[in-house]
Parts: sequence; structure tokens; C-alpha cells
Amino acid sequence: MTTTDHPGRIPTDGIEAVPGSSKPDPILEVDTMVRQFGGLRAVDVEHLEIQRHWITALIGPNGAGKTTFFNLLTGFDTPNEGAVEFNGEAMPRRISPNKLARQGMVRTFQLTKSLTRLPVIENMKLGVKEQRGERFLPALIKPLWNEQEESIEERADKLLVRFKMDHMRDEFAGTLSGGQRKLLEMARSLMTDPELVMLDEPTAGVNPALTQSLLQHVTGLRDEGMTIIFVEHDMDVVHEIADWVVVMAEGKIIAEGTPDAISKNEAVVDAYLGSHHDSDLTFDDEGDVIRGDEGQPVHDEPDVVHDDEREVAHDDERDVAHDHRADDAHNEDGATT
Amino acid sequence: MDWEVIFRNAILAGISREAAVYAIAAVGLNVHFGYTGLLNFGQVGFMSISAYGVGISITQYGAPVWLAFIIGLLAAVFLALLLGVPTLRLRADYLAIVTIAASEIIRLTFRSVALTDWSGGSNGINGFADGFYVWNPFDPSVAYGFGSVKVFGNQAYIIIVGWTLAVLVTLLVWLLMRSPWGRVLKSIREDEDAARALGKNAYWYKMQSLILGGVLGGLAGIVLSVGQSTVQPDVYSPPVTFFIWTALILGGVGRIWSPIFGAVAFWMILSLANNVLDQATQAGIVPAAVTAGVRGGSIRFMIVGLGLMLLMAFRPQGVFGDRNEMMLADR
Ligand SMILES: Nc1ncnc2c1ncn2[C@@H]1O[C@H](COP(=O)(O)OP(=O)(O)OP(=O)(O)O)[C@@H](O)[C@H]1O
Ligand SMILES: [Mg+2]
Repeated sequence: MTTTDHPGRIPTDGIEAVPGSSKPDPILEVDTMVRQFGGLRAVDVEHLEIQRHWITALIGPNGAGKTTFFNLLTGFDTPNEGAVEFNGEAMPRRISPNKLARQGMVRTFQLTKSLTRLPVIENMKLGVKEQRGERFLPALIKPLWNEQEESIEERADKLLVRFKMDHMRDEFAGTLSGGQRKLLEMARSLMTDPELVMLDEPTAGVNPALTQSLLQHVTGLRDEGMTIIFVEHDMDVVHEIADWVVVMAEGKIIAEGTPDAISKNEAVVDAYLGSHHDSDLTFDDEGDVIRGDEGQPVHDEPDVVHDDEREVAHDDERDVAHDHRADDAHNEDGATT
Repeated sequence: MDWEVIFRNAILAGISREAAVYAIAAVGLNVHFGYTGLLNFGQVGFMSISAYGVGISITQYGAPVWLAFIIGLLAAVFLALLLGVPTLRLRADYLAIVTIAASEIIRLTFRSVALTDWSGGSNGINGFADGFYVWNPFDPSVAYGFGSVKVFGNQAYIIIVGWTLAVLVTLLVWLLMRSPWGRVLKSIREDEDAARALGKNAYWYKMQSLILGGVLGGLAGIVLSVGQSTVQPDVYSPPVTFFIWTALILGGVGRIWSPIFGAVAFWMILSLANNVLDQATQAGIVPAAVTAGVRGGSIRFMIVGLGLMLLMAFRPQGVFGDRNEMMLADR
């Protein structure tokens, strides 16, 4: 893993592994947040603190409320009740996403939102906040914003190189593959200079090699001082990069802790089995493997049984992808009306 | 068949003040739909409110022409705010419904009997444009032009003013759309939530776009009313909006020069259909019974409609559009 840790990143020892545990330096604090869809309590979080400079994984079965929770935190949806403190400052219950983004909270979407008919480089340049040329009158006079535009472009090009997307620079974003779009969305969000980056399933549909480089980017961001929350279904990934894991089920936070502690947590295993009683579980199985390895990240030896299980896990994920589409259609309605 | 007449009329239609008016209004619609993705089905509402703004402020309140023009354009700003405030936070379809309804409400209000003293009822307002023709450098009784393509002085004046404005607003939109401001509009067109997640106040940008495009619609309405020296409510009826859409789509949505090209092409095609039909009837190629009376008028629109259907089938992106780019949206 990385050697150039950010000095602000504290170890996880001594932090209580219980739902709603307090952290020494939370960037985000959530209190009694409830989102009700008719009779369904999609989100019902009593208390949650997200430690600054950590990578926090948010996991949970399909329909647990992770995306809804993200929507609430980022202003794309309004909670029925609940309070959020960001950087120690209380946010109003109803706040627009753009305001939160300008305060340093940026997100990506489970269903990637690439700006299809804009070139990749324009997608990137859009991310920068407070551009002079984004106001109506200055926009008319190029000399007023040209210099800033050039420096933005330079930065965007550097990021594209870092994300190995520079060869697609001038293509329309709509021509990118699904995985490339994930990369673009993440790179674009970094153009906003965020403090808190919230990634909704950044690795879904991304091939293993690309996933690896994506994960390196994520840890790289942490080392630069950013805080990351990401939703993830693959426990390998969670083990590899997360400092802390928050588990959601049926809208509630049911567990918190280090990745190792979470894989041994009975309540978590139950939550997953409860919703997946008929299929073998990636999570449970991978957990076992990791325990056998004494907590080493799984770069495991070839193993017939394990490969089999991977197949199962894969099928499972494809089902997941179906669910998402339906869910997100809902979410969008919720967010725009 | 007299092809000289056919082509002369087509050219006259292509450069006519109506074509200039449609071009300006289509530039506005292009800002709305082509760059921001706003569905405005009531562009004619912006045209009429500005035209009436000019007419009423001159005839009722004796405003000087320049002030009347400003008032007319401010009326369009006001209409944009009125339509935008309640709808721009909602999904795109709401704006579509509200704009088409508003354009009819405006027309019916101005032509209502109760307001006859103020807005002239169904006769509209006449004789307010004299102040504008004071600046006419041409002699109204002389025909200007090249060869047999000639127009009288007042026409020449309004045509030149109209097309100058059409080119100027096109350049204005070009300046805006190459800027970061234009980039935000396009990002909203592509995905509003993505723009908001990146800190852009999508609502406010959509409002700016609605105002800008609406004011351009208003400008078109002013040129039309001044050119006709009259504002008549029924000139500003819903088909105008759809002709403007046609011109825009003909040229290619979201392209800088397509409104001008589309407006010229639309009027030329209409004139060609009309004149070819006329000449063919006179020459006995088409039976007179087919084109008699109102039928002739309907048939020319049927021909234009057929042409448009063929265009959509073979070149759905319009003349200037990029088919690959357009197909991306469906991926
Ligand atoms: N706008 C909505 N209207 C009604 N129900 C909704 C809406 N949005 C989400 N839900 C419901 O809330 C629950 C949580 O959905 P959410 O998308 O947050 O799950 P998730 O944890 O992100 O799942 P996944 O892992 O599949 O992405 C689901 O039961 C879903 O059907
Ligand atoms: Mg989700």
C-alpha cells in the first residue's frame, strides 16, 4: 500500500467499533436522518460520524438505502428529518447540491453521468468551481477568462494523464465505455478540489485491471488529504483500501468497524444472508478466505473452489446491476420533483 | 412554367423580413433547446409580448421609439421570469406545457374585447412604427435590388435591419457558447444533476438561458411588428412557434449558423412549393380543381411537410448537425 500517508490520517485503533461511534475529527456528522418513501423507511440513521482523511466504505445489501443516503447527504434528496454537520458547520435540512459541492463535497453517481455530447476535456474543465467565464457578461469577453481557462485545461490534461484517459481527450464522452465513464466521472469530480469525495459504486462494471488503478487513485486522494466515502459490494476492494467500514441494512447503520472486524461481525453476515438466502455469498466466503490468510489482502493462490465462488459472485453482481437501474429511476424522480 | 418568376420569388422569400424574423427567433430557440435542452413551445409568446410592449408604449403612453424597444424587450424578460420561476425546478416537460399555454393566453388576452381600448382587440395596434422609419435612409417610392429581385425602400430598410440583427445575435450566441458559461449550459442539456453535483446552479443558468432566448424571441417580434407597421394578435399564433422549430431543425439543432440557414431555407422552400404549384396549374400540368382556393395553400404545406419528413428520415441531424454526435444521446 501507500507509504506517503497524509499526516492527519489517524490509526483506527482505539475507535469504538459500534454503530454511531464517535471519531476524533469528523468531517461529516449525521444525526437522526430519516427518509421515508410511503411506508418504507429507506434511510433511518441515528448517528454517524465520518473521520477526516479516512477512506470509509459504505456497504450493505441491495436496497439497504446506501444510494438514498448519499442523495440525502449531497442535497439531491431532502430527508424527512435529520441534521448534517459538514466541517463542523450545520447544514440546512433542505440544501441544493450545488451549494454543497461548492463547500467541498463532491459525489459520483451509481449510474454514471457523463456529459455525452461534450468532449472528455470539456467534461473535465466543467468541474472547476467559480470560473470567471461562467458569469454572463465576462463570458462575452474572452481575455477576461482565457488565462484561467488555459490553466484549467492544463490541470485537466494532467489529471487525464494520471487516469490514463489522455488518448480520449477530444472524443465525446458518449463514446467512452462504461468503465471509462466511471474513470471520467471520478477525474471530473476531482477538478472541483473537493474535501470530501463520495463515490457510489466506483468499481461496478470496471474490469479488474482498471479497478486496481482506480483503487490506487482513491488511496492517492486520501494521501493528498481528501476524505473518501465509497459504496462497494466487493469485499476484496473494501479490504484493500478502506480504513473503516459502515454497514447499512434496511436503512439503518447496523455495524461499524475496521474491514477485518466487520468480516467477523455476526450481525453483518446475518444482514446479507437475510436478503440473499438462496445464493452463496461473496462477502461471507471472501471473509473466510481472508481470515485464513491472517488479514492479508487477497491476492490468493489459484483455488478451484474459490474460482467457482467467483462465478457465483459475478452472476450475483449482474442481478444487482438490474436492480440499480430500477432504483435510480426512482431516485431521479425523487431528486427532481 | 416561368422559372424566372419561381426563382425570383424564392430569393425574395429567402431574404424577406419574415425570414430574418424567424432567424432571430430561431437563434433564441437554439439557446433554449439546442444549448440548454429547454423545451420552449411558446416562442411566439415572447414575440408577441415584445411587439405589444412596443405598440402599447408608443400608442398609449407616447414613448419614444428607442424607449419603446427597451420596454418591449423588458416585457420578454418579464415573461421569461414568469414562466421560469415555477417550472425550471421541475422536469423539462413542464416548461413545454407552460410555454405553449402562455403563448395562447397572451394572444387571447391582447385580442380580448375587454382590453380593446388598450391593445386594440382583434384589430391590434396600427401606425406606431413611424418613428422607426424616420431613420430610413432609402426612398420608400424607389425599388432597390439586383436584376429583377427588387424591393421598395421601406422593405429594403427593414430587411437590412432584420438581417443585421440576425447576424449580430448569432455572433453574440457564438461568443457565449464558446465560453465557460456556454459550457455550463451544455452540461445542463446533457445532465442537469451532473452539473449540480459539480457545483453549478442549474436553476439559475436555465433561467439565464430562458431570458436570453426569450429576449431574442422578443426582438424578432419587434422586427416583425415594426416591419408590418402593425401588431395583430392572430399573427402571433402557435403555428409560428412550430415554423420556427422547423427552421431550427432544418438547419441542425445546437449549431451556430443553423437558425439563419434554416429560416432562409424554410421560406425559400415554402415559396418554391407555392410558385411551382401555381405555375404548374397555369400551365395545365396540375388540374386547377386541385389547387383552387384555400386548397392550394394547404397543399404547399403538405409538400413542405413531406420534405421535412424526408429530411428527418435521411438527415435527422439537420443540415449542419453531426449525425454521430446526435446518435450519442441515445446510448
Ligand atoms: N424515489 C424513491 N421512491 C420510492 N422508493 C425508493 C426511492 N428511492 C429509493 N427507494 C427505495 O429505497 C430503498 C433503498 O434504495 P437505495 O437505492 O438507496 O439502495 P442501495 O443501498 O443503494 O442499493 P444498491 O446496492 O442496489 O444500489 C429501496 O427499497 C428502494 O426501492
Ligand atoms: Mg445504490
